[in-house]
Order: sequence, then C-alpha cells, then structure tokens
Amino acid sequence: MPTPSPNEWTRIRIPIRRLDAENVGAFRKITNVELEAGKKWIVLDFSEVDFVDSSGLGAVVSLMKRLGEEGDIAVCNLSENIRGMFRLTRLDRIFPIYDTWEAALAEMHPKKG
Amino acid sequence: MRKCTQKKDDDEIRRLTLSIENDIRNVSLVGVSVGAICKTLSGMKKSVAWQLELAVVEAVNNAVMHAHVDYGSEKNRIEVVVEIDKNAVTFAVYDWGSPRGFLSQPPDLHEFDPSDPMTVPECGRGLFIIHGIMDAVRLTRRDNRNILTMTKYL
Repeated sequence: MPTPSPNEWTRIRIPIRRLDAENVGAFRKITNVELEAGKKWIVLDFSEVDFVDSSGLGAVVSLMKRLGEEGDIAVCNLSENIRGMFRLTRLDRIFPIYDTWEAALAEMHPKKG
Repeated sequence: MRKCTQKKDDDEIRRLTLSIENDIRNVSLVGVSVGAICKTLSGMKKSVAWQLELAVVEAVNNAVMHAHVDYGSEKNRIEVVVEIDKNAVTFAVYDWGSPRGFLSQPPDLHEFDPSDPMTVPECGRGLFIIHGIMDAVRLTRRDNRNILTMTKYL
C-alpha cells in the first residue's frame, strides 16, 4: 500500500464522540491546525464518532470549501448510522466515502499540480 | 408530579418530560436520554433509535437557536415530552421563543451541483433531517410557547 508523503493525504482521526453543535468548535480547532500546516488533502476518520448532527455536517462542508480547488477531502470509517445520514442529506454525492483508511489510501491519488 | 395515564395494558401511554436550560451544551443530555429510551422499546431497531435521537437533537437545536429568552428566566427552558404507546412514539419540543414559521412539508435541500462544492450549503439541514426521519411533523403554539411535535409510528 502506498504511504502518503507529507504533501499528500492527511488522516485526521476526529477525537470527538458527538460531532454536534456543542463540539463543532473543537472540530474546527483540530482541522485548523492541519490547514495552517499546509495540509490540503484530508481524510476525516470517523472511527471514534458515534453521533453527528447537522451542525457537524455543516462543519465538514465548511472544511471542504476552505480546501477549495487546491485540495480535496474524503471520509472513512463511518458508522452505518452516520453513513445513512450522509445519504439522507445527499452529502454522499460530494464526499468520497471509504470503509477504512487503508481503502482510502488504496484508491486515492495525489493531485498533480 | 408526573401523571401516568394507564388504562388497559394494550392502551398504556407512557410519558416522560425532559427539561433543560436553553443552552446548546444541554442538548446532548436530551439526545442521549431519548436515544436510551428508544433503544428499550420493543421491536425498535437500534438504527431507528439513533435516528430518533438525531431528530430530537435537531429539534432542540432549532429551539435553542431561535428561542432566545433572558438567561436565568423561568422561561429560558426547553421541554421535551416523550410519549410512547403501542403504535407510536411522539416527541413534543416546547420553547418560549417568539412565534416562528415552520414548513409543514419537507423543505428543499438546496439542490446543489456535485461537481461544484461551492454550491453545497453549510447549514439548513436540520429541518430536512427531521422531516426525513419522522412520519409526522407539525408546529403549533399554545400558551405563548412554540410546540414542535414529531411522531414516529412503530
């Protein structure tokens, strides 16, 4: 399996069990650190996330917009419930969804400038 | 004192009232409680219990965001009444905020262009999610309180 270089995909394991209106601030702090470090290709790992509400989804969408055309974002390790929520809100049309981080690495390629 | 209305076993209606200070940090208390209650219901799938928790959280979030009342006031509280009978589970979210509109039909989820991420909205999904999960949704007003009632048939 390919190992991402520092300029390629960055895995962010979201250390928040409930990604909700109360905790979106913490999510933004975590992702801001990576953005400020110049990370542009991000995979959000939802392994530890049990619950997401619309505020949490909004924060993920906001992150995607901040990455813009120079970056990209995907998600992995969604629970079935959270994956269902992506489907319900049609965000499964926007975000590549992978079962695991390894599956994400196996399929994604670094963007060429 | 909570009055428990009980007729015959088959007609038993169980009712629980949850009350929180109008603060976003308290919403998860309601959510976790609702999720735990729903998981105990006979025949309810865990996935459905999760969805009901989500719907209630979205409703309470909506109340917190729109029902601004003086902090510390007795009216700065949001109540969630959970009512369970053999046919349905109903959640009624009460807040003291100003009257506000609510779509009786599921709102459009802003059709966006999957090839253009900038068209994807960052907010506005809460009501859409509620309508997508619950079988019946309505907003009424009584005694100066907004009441958002959501029902899921079992």
